[in-house]
Amino acid sequence: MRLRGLVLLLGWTTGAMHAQTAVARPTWNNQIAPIVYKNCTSCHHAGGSAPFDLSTYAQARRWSAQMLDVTQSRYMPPWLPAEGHGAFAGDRRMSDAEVAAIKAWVTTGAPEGAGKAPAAPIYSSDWALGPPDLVVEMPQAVPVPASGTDLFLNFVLPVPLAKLNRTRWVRAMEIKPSSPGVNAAQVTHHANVIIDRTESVRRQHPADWQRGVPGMDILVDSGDDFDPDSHFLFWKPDSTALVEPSGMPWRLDPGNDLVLNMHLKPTGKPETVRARIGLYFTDKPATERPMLLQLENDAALDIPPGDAHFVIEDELKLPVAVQVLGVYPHAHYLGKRMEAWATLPDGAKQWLVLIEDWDIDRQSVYRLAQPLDLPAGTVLHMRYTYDNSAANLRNPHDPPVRVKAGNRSEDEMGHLWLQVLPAPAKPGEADPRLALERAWMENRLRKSPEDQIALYNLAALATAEGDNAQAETLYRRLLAHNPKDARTVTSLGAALAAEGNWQSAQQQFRAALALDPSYSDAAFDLASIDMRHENLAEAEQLLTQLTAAHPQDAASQRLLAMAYASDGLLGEALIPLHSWGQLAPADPEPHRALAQVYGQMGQATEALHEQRAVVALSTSNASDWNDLGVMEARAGNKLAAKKDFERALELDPTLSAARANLSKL
Amino acid sequence: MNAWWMTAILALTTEAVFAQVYGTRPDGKAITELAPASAQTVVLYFVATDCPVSNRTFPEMRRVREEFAARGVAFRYVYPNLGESPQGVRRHQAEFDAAGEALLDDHGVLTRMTHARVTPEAVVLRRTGAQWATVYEGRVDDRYVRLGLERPAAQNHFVERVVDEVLAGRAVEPAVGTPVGCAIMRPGETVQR
Repeated sequence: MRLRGLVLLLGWTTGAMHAQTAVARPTWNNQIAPIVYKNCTSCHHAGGSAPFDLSTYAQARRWSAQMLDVTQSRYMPPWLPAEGHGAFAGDRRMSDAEVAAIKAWVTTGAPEGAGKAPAAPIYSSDWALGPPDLVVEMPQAVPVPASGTDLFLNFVLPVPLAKLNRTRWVRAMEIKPSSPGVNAAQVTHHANVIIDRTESVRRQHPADWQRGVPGMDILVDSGDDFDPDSHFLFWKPDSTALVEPSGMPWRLDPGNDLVLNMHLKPTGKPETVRARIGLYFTDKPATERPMLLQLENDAALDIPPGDAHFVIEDELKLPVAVQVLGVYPHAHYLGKRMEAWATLPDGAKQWLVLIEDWDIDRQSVYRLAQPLDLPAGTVLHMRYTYDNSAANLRNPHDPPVRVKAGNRSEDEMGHLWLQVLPAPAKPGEADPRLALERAWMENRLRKSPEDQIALYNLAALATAEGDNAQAETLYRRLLAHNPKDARTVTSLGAALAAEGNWQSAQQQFRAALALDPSYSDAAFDLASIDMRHENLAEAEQLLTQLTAAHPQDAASQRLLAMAYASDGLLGEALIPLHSWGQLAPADPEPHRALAQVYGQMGQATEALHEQRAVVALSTSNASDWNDLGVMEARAGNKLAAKKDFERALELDPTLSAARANLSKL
Repeated sequence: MNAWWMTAILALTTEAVFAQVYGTRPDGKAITELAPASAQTVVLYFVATDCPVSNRTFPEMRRVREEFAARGVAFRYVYPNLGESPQGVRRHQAEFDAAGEALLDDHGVLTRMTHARVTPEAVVLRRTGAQWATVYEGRVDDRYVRLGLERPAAQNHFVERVVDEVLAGRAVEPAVGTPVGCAIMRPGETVQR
C-alpha cells in the first residue's frame, strides 16, 4: 500500500512538470501559430501590406528575432491607445501572455513542435465585399522616390459623371493603394478620404491636383448647404472594407470629388502609386446623421527649440447630448503624449483615449467598441504634450528650431476629431448638429478671435437661422481681412439678398465674378436675382456658361430652362429641361415643366408623354392626375381621361376642376 | 583593442586558408578574391532581398559606393541568408543598385569571418599584405535607432566617415550603437539574442 501511494505521488509530480514544460516551451504548432494568425497575418501575408509573410513555420522562424524585438517593445502589432483608457473596436493590443509566449518561443530556439499547426487564414487580394458598385481611380500613376523623408500628398479622384448621375448613399468603401500593374502596397502607410463637394481642391491647385498636392491635411470648401462632414474614411495597412453602421451611409452627389490624402514611405527603390477606391451603394438614405467635431489648439502651438514638455489644451462643452462613435487623434513628429477625456455634468471623468508614446507612422482612427453616451453639458478635453528637443529622435529639425502649427510635416498640429451622433431632434426642434457646429465655432473664436473658418461658419449659421444682419456683419469682418475672397463676397451678396437689398446683392455677385470669373456660386446667385428683376439676357448668358462648365448641375439646368421660358424661348428651354430630367430621374418636376412647355408649343403627344412620367413618379398628387386627364381628353382618350379625373377626385374630393372636367366628358 | 584586431585578422586568415571561396556571384561563379588587386579597401554591405530596413538603407549604401568607387575602394553587397536565390538577388540588385556588385554568402564564409548579425550591416576591410583586416563593423548610418524608431534622416554616416578615414590614413573611430535590421538566418543556428 505504501509503495502504491508513492507511485501515485510520483505520477502527480511528473504530470505537473509536463504541464510546466508546455507553458514554458511553446512551439509553433501548439501556441505560436494561433497567436501569429490572430495578430500578425492580416498584414503579414503574401501580397499583404506588410513587407514579409508570417503564414508558415519556416517564414515565422526566419523573422523570429524581429518578432521578439517588436512585441517586447510593443511596436507591433501597431496599436497606440493605452490599455484601460477607452474600449475600442478592433483593439490590436497583444495580451501580456501572448507577448510572453513569443519571447519564450524565440529564446528557446523557435521550435516547430510536434503535431500540426492550425491552418493559416486565407486572404484574398480581391475586393473584400465583392465587385464594388463604383470604382474611382487616381487619374495617373505617381512616382515615389527611392529615398528621402516621407511624402504626404493629396490626390483628387474625380467621380465620373457617366457613372454617377444621381445622388447615391455609400454604405461601404474599400481603398486599394495598388492598381493593375502598379504595386504600391509597401509604399503606402496610411490614407484618408475627404469628400470635396465643390471641386475646391481642383480650383485651389489647378496645376497639381492630379499629381498630388503636398500637405498632411487639406481644407475643402463644403459649400453653402449645412451638411457637415460626418464620417471617418480612414485606411491603414490592415484595413479591408470600411462598412458604415446601419442607417449611416454617406452621401455622394454627381460632381463630387474624392480627395485621397496619402502618407507614402520611400522603400529604397523607385515606386509608383495609383490608388483605387471601391464604393458600395445602398438605396436607403441615411436615417442617422453623425457629425465630426474637432478639439484643437493650433493657435497655441509655438514650441521653442529644446522644449521637451510643451503642452496645449482645449475643451468644448456639448450643447446637446451625443453618442461618441470614434476618435482620431492627430499630431505630427513632435507629438509625444495625447490625453482626451470627457467630464460629465456630475463631475465624473470618462477617458476617450490616452496615447503615451505618439507615433504618426501608426496613427489611426479608433472606433469605440460601444457608442459612448454623453449628456448635454459634458465637457470634452484634450491635452497634448510635444517634445521639441534633440532627444526626440523623430524631430524633423536638427538642431531643433521653433515650430508652429502648419500643414507641412515639419510643422505641428494638435487635433482631436470625434465622430458624434447627436440625440435626434424632437418634431419642431432645430437640427442638433447646428448647435454642435455653433459650440465648436465659438470655441475656435475664443482661442483665435479672427479665426477665418469660425467666422465664416458662424455667418453661414446666422444665414441658416434667418439672422441676415448678423451674417452680413460677420462676412464684412471676414472681408476686412481678405477683401479678394470671391466666396465671402458671394456669401455677403446672398445675405444682402435675403435681407431684401437685391441691388447691393447684385453688386456683390458681380464683384465676386470680377475676382473669380469661374466661381459658379456667384454666377448662379446673380442669375437668380437677374431673373427676379427682369434682366433675362444676363441670366441666360451666365447660365449658358455655367451649364457648359458644369453640365451635371441640375439647379443650373433648371434655372436656365426657366430663363428661356420666361423669355418666350420655349424651344431653347427644352434642352436644359431634358438635362435636368436626366440628372434628377426621380424628380417629377422637370417632367411637369416639360409637359407645360410642350403643351404651349402645341406638341400634345410629347406633353402627354411627359405628364404620364409625372404621375409615374408622383402618384398621389391630385392636380397631376387632373392635368393628365385634360391631356388624355384632348388626345381623344376619353376612357383614360375619365380614370384620371376619378383618380384625382379619389385623392382630393374637393378638387373642383377635376369634378368639372369629369362632368364634361 | 590590440587583442580584437588580432582576432579579426586570425579569423580572416583561417577562412582564407581553408576556404578559398568567399561566395558565389549571382551568375553562379565562385568568388575567390574579395576585391581586385588594385583595391586596398573593401566595403561589405550585408543585405537581404526581403528586409525592409536593408532596402530602405540601399540609397545610402549606393550613395557611398558611388562616392568612393573611383578611389580604389571596392564595394560588395553580401546576401547572407540561406534561401536567397541567384535570380532573386539579380532582380533585387537591378531594382536597388543595378551598378553594385552582389554575392551570395551561400556557405556563410563571410558571415562567420565578419561576425555580421543583421541586415543591413557594414564591414570595412583593409588589405594588410595578403590578408584583409577588419577596420569597421557596424551600422551604415544612424537613421534607425531600433525597429520602429528612426530619425527623419541620418545624422551620422558611419561608412562614409570610416572610408574617408582609411583613405586619409587617419585612425578609424570605432563603431557605436547596435546594428538595427533583420537577423541573418543560417540553418541550424539558434536565434542569437
